[in-house]
Amino acid sequence: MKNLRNLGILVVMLIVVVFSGLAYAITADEIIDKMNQAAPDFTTQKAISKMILIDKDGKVEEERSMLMFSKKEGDETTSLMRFLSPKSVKGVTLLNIKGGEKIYLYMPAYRKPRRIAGSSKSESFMGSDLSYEDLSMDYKDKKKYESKLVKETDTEYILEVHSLDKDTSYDKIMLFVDKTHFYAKKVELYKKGELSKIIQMLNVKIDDNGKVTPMEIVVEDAKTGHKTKMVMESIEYNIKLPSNFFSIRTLKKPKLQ
Amino acid sequence: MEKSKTFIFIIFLILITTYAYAGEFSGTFTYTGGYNLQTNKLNNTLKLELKYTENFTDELFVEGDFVLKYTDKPFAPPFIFMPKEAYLGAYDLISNLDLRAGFLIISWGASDMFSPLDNFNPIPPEMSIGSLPEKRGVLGVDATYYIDDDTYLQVVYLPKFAPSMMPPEAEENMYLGMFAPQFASQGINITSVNITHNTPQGPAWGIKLARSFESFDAALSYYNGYYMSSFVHSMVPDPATGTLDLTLSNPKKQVFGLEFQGDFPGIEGATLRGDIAYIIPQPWQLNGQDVLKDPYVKASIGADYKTSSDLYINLGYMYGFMTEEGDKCSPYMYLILKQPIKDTDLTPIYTGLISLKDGSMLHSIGVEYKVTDDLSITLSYVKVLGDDTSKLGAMKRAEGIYLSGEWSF
Repeated sequence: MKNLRNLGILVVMLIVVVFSGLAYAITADEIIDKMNQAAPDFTTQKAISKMILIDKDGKVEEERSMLMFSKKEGDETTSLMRFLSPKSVKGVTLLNIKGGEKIYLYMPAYRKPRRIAGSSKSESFMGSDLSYEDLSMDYKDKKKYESKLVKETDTEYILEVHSLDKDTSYDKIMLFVDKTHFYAKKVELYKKGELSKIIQMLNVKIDDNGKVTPMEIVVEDAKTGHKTKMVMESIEYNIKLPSNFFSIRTLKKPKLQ
Repeated sequence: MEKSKTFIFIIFLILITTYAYAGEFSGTFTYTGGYNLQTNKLNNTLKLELKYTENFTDELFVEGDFVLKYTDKPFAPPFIFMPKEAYLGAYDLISNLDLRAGFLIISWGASDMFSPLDNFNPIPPEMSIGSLPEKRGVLGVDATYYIDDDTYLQVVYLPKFAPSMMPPEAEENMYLGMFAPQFASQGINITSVNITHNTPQGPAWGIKLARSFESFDAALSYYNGYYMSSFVHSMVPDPATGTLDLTLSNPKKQVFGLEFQGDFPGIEGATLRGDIAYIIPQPWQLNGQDVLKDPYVKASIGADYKTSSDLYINLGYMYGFMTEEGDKCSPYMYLILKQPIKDTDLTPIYTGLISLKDGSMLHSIGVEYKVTDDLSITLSYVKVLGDDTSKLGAMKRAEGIYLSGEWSF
């Protein structure tokens, strides 16, 4: 009887060991590490891109051209974004300091920067499907997000990610990570348990070192079906920028670079 | 005759616009038509605003913003051409110093409406509800020294103060309406007004220290100059001719200011913007009566918020309207709402202003239609509630239906 019980315990232990080993050969932390490795290495970046607003029926509402600069400081990214067209928004510039710590919007007609309250981060940015928060979110940052591997398919790892910051708008983020190149092919953002937005990488550029640059991204509002497509036209890495470039001083300058 | 003038002006504007479109210019072409419900008359205004920027080097540039305007509004000059802004700008000629010199527009204050700290540029007598006032550039120098990324010290110097001016005929009518009943009660029949402007020739200047803190930005400022609006300095009636001789001037004033913008404590997602001005006026009397005497406070504090359904709300409190000074200041509240309608190019807009002293109100209800990325049309209706002597009742002349179209190029 005692032998039978010992045998039972052994079988259960074997099942646990075998299945846990079989389930995931890689941990969520390791996937995040690999995603960080696959992200382009840069301290500064300059990009020209298009922002296309598309209604639920697929009709293009507006096409905007933007000039974007960003800088990495440790785990934080600071960015400056200026609209080049259409003429109605030309010169509108957004400064996002250290991942949303401070946000300023400069509209030429006002001739002064307008600060956006940190707690307004969930507001839509210039009528797009992106919020100020989305523009600065980096779910690969282990200090800010914790992740759990919940599923694996032939082509993807599916991670469930939660922000460690209680002030975030999203209570759950699902990452669908490409198994070969370790980038998030799709991201689902959940608010109060409901799907709020879907971000999809439609086109990526992979260099010889395996670095992945998203070239075409679509953000979809899950409730309305409205979409914002971002198309990268050119990217330069590690460009030389003045030390005070990412400050309110730059917002008013007619020429950025 | 008026129609032919309008036609010629349109052709002229189209020619200039076509030239500008082909060149390095950008700008806007605006039509505003207003049907006044008080006079039952239709007025038209065409405005071409051209902007030009030329960078000589990374540090040196010129920027120009020129306005060409035609209007058939009564009492207004039909044609206006003015450099709204035209200046030479330089960055880092001295390390961390930004310099601008020429015709400048200076924007001080964080609040969205009627900032009492914004005292450098003359504005037209027409009030802009829900849109930015059309400031006129002033000759001056603006130097901003960046102590660090978060702190700057700004000095503005205008060698000669520039006041806000009303069209002469409108000004005469206003003072005739104001003083004729007063003299009639004394048995003097006033039928015309003769105005002499005694505009100060002195400089105006200001200094501002601004800093960005973790959750808000704040600035302390000081302005030393004059009131933008003219005050009556003396009046001499001539019973024989029925003429009232008025001398107008602009009293001196000093403004100590505090402006702030940032998180609204306790309201998640709202941004608080506010300006508080402590004003020390030059004592001013008319016929032995004090018009300006003691220091007083004006303020404009508001909060803007966008709901999850994209409804933009801007609610604010004002103490002292743009036309109120000294002990005439009174409290107001304003509300701006904008709600883009999903899957359409329409955005209904509401702007409301209420005097908390006498309950008079101004309402503007409109809808903006975005025809293309660069062309928008707005139709609005303005209604004023309150009797003619109330705080906002005097604005009844603005009651009407307005149609405007703006093309950016």
